[in-house]
Amino acid sequence: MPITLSHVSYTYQPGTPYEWHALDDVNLEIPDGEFWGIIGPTGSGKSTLIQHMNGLLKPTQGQVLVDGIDLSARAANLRQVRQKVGLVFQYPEYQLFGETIHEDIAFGPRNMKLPADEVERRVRRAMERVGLDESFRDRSPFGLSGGQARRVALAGVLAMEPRVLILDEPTAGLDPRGREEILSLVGAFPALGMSVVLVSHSMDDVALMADKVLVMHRGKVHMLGTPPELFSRRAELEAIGLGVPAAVQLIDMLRSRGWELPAGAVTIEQAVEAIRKSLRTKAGGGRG
Amino acid sequence: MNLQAVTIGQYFPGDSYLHRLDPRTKLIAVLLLSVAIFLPRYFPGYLLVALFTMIAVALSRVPVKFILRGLKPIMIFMAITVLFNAFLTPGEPLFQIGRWAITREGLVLSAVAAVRLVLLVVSASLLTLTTSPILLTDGLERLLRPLAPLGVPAHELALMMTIALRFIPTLVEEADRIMRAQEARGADFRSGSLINRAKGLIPVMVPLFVAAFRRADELATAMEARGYRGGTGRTKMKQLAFSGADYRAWAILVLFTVAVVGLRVTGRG
Repeated sequence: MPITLSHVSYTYQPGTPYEWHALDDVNLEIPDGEFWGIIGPTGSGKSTLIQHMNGLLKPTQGQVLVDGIDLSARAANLRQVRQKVGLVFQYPEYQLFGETIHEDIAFGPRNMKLPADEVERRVRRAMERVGLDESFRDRSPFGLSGGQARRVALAGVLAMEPRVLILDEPTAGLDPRGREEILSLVGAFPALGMSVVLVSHSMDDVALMADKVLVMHRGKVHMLGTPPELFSRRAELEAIGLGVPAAVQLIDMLRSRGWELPAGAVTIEQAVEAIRKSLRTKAGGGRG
Repeated sequence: MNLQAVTIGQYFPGDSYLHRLDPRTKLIAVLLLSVAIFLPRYFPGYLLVALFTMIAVALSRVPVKFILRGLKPIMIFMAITVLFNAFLTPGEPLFQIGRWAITREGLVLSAVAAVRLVLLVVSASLLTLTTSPILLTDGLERLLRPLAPLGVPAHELALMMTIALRFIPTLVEEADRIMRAQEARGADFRSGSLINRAKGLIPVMVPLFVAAFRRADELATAMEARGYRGGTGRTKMKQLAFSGADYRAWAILVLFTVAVVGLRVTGRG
């Protein structure tokens, strides 16, 4: 289920004083089964970009192909595309409306016109996946804790069993525990055969989870690479108001104080490993 | 569905004579004008009222295109009014369509109704087009204040209006976002029968109301946190004051009203 964007540009309210070029000649290919992180300053076009991936927005110029289907084509069945490409917006719990949690999660599968028993099966599975037990089934989605509500919203998209899952800042506004829960959940999706696109402001999350990181800036693809490649270009990232993960900052700091450490550690664990190695050789060298 | 195109009570920024008038003058003028529109019985009277409105439009320097756009929503209402008047007024038949006849009296009444409606809407839109929402509510509050002893909550009404106007764009944006999110879950707002489409709005309306209540709650807390205690003893940063332009406007208004009433009383217009 690869997603290909070629020469995609998007303009909001063209021809008015409020004209705004949100995307400018974006070229991308997201292959199957990869975990992509998208970072970029506010207003860089991240949200506009992901809405192109399931046809919620159609490019002003250029082409979006999902599994070979051109989303701008008149014959394109967008409903079908949206089942395959699940999109979880920012603060998805603000879109809950069902009388019960079960009702709300069943909304997507029912829109797919699935038979009742299949809807039931999918709701069950989605709730299981996000870690909501049976007792939640008939409760109202209003009055849950922030993390719980967000998991219900996530289940609502998962119940459509998409093959690509796109998440816009899924941890925004959650407490550390809620964050942890959502992230470990999202991290498990590639193993289930889903591609994941994660829009995030947290360099640490992206470094920890993504295979590839895309940096958006002023509607353009600014940088693209694996986390170690990308976060080694600290100055470029800082120039556009972004940063690097805490682990990279630590390694950089130690190196500037004369430690001999290899570059490429972007997560805390990798940093710990690198420092441990360096200490070992230091200790060895001291004795020798 | 493009909700960004929704505009309600739009303000057209500018610095024309009408823009500079005190909002109280404009409010009273619109009130007088809407009474005056219903006074005339003969052509000269209508001519006078129409001329007055057109001069006001010219003075506002708002493009006529903009003003006509405000007429769009009432088009259906106007068409119905005109049709009913044309066909259902008894009198001398002019054309016969099946068993229905258009009468001379009916045509006259239709024209009158159409002119009145257009003038009414144009004058009301002139008010909102040339007065920023804040000034408008300020003016309303000042005008209602003398009624406070009678139990009219002037300040509260004005505040409610300000808040409502302030949150229209926010709610529109929110509705747009929720619709996209539900569309991503396979909702369809574009096709199907009217009943199905109406049902399809539940997943939009429920979260929208929940959000509105949450916002209201947060706004109330924020206002309290900043020491808001209602209208008593509250001062204004910008005091409303009548200027020379206002006194001239008042003079013209009085003359206009006298002329319209005079024409009516003497049976000439």
